[in-house]
Amino acid sequence: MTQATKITGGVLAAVVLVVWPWLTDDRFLHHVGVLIMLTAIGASSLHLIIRTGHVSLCHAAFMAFGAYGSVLTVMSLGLPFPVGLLVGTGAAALLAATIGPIVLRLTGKYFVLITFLFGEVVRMAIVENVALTGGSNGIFNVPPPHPIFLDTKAYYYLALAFAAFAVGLCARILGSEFGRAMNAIRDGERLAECSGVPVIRFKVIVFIIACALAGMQGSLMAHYNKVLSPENFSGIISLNLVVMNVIGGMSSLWGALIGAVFMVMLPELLRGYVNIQHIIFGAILFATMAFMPGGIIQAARHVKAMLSAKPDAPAPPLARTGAAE
Amino acid sequence: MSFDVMKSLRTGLIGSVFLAASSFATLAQETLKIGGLGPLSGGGTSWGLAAQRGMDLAISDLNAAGGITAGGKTYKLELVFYDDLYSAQGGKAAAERLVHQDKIKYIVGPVGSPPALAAISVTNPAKVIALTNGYAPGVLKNDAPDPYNFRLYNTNLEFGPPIIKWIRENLKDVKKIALLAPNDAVGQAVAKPLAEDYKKEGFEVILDFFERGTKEFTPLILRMMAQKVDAFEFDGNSPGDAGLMLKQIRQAGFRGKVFQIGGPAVDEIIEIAGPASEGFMTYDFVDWDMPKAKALREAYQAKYGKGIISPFMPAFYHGVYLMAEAIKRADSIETDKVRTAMEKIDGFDIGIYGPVKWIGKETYGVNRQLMMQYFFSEVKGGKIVKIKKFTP
Repeated sequence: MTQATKITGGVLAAVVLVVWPWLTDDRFLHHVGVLIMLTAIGASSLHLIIRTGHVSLCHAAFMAFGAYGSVLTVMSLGLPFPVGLLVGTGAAALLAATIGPIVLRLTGKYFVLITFLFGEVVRMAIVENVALTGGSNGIFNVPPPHPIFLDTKAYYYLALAFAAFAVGLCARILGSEFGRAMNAIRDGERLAECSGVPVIRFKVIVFIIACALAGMQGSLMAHYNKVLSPENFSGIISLNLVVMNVIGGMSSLWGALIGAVFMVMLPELLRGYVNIQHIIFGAILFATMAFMPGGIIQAARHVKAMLSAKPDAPAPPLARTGAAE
Repeated sequence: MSFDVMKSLRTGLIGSVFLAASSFATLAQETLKIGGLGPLSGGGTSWGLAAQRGMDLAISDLNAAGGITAGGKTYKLELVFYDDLYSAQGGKAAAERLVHQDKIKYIVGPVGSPPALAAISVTNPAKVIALTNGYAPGVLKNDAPDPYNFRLYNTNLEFGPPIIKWIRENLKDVKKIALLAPNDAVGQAVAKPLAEDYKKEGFEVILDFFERGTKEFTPLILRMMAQKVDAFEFDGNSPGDAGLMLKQIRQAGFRGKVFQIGGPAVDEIIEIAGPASEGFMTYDFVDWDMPKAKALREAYQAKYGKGIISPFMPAFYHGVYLMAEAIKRADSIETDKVRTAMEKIDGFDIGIYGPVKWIGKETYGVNRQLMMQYFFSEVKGGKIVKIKKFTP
């Protein structure tokens, strides 16, 4: 793909994302748009961690820190939303900086298990600390960032701006020298270390950035939903973010974004089929993972390569890893 | 004119009359969609299914009776029911879809507090009437300047104190109570206020929480028995957990009273606990001996089989009737007028709960809490016997 094509595609995508809410008055579609934008922040930030070779099952715990940090700052201290957002994001980053150097020394299934347990510890701490967090009942009547954002369309643009910032930051990191070092760590930690890459330091930096972005998503989600409760930050939420990356494709940031769109839209499209929605949802997920092991992005690349290949040229492999984009 | 031509003309004429009649019928009877929200997946599925089936039966009955008439038009009702996933996010998404995509103005549900709190943040600004459940006080004490939501039936804040007072006056041996509840939204919402209500009546209360999903309660039960409790109370538990706890309490050798002031699901508890349910005392709000309730149970069993009936089924059935009655009284489908009619619906009785009325001004600041008759019942010989009736 040439640079000009990339720029044209990017501009076109930006125009579509900005213009489409004006083409429909359906507030439900605007709502789905908000969810996609906010989920894209979580999926893309988790993608950063995945690109260092770790699958984290506690991303929702950092969303919780962002959400409760922001909501308590706004509702208990009476400070404005931007301060709440900064406090929430900062709290998530601080937590990541505290536990990151410890848990990032673990790899593989041990990292998965410890992050799952950490997520449960955070959830239980929220449930038990009734005086501060409202316990299982959570906090309700959460104010919007500004009265103008009571309008779903307006909130969509706020979510779009933050999603653009988060995805842009992730893309910038992945496309940089730092991103190439991340890929080196994922492909061979020992080899990267021998090549002079400060592995733990790099992994902790990535972890802090990703978790701060998750905190930002949590804050935005809480002020959008107007209700905050611990079930919004359970292990299932973290697992869903992993599934988004797997379905979209773990080798590319685009995969995380496609996965986010897929995983938000599919249940909404199936909501009308009350009795069979979960069967259809499960079947689609199963088929996607079984027949597209490299995710949707890799399958799309495969189809594109097949279409553009000469008739006698061999087809490219279906699953590819190590892409730096 | 030949016979064939006459026959064709006659056929054409009859056809035209039928066509005109059917067109008139189409014009005269429009469709009014009623929205429903409840969990149709996850742990709360049985509640959501019961809510959906109750609404479905109510709409079938109302349509069979000719639909509802308002503003000179007769409306056939149609149910649109979505899964709220028993979560705030699910409740908001489902409400957004009902309100903004399906353009529905009348909603019954959600069942739980998190989805109810999120759903009313969508329905109130859109002037959509919502008859929700959810025990959290915030469901009625919300920040909407001009709310359109009501609560569908009694919560523990309404029925708890009178029943506890009755226990103090009639079960004089009970002085120390062990209150066991799950550590989740339901448990926390009901157990702490209930413990306070017991304490206000002079009882000593030991409140303990456990993680939802626990199936082995014996260590917890033995710990409570070692503290010489006179009774166990497990409001806030699902029927499955309550049945298991009851069984394990009796297996552990406890012979005292066991109560559940809330969560009326005594049929399910009897089925799980079996003979151990003898003497179990519980809050209940459906009198299945009332003629209309009996007919509803038969209609339910004819359509959905002879399984246990969740109390959410008649509650949501009643909710649809409340909505239909308010529309009829308003003689309009404008929600402002229907809301006014709904506020004045005191005394409405469809033969399941007796006459109902709105209360809540003192507790929630608004008279939007439906109050219906309720009972304190006891299991005797495997049957539910009502030992005290409370009327609003």
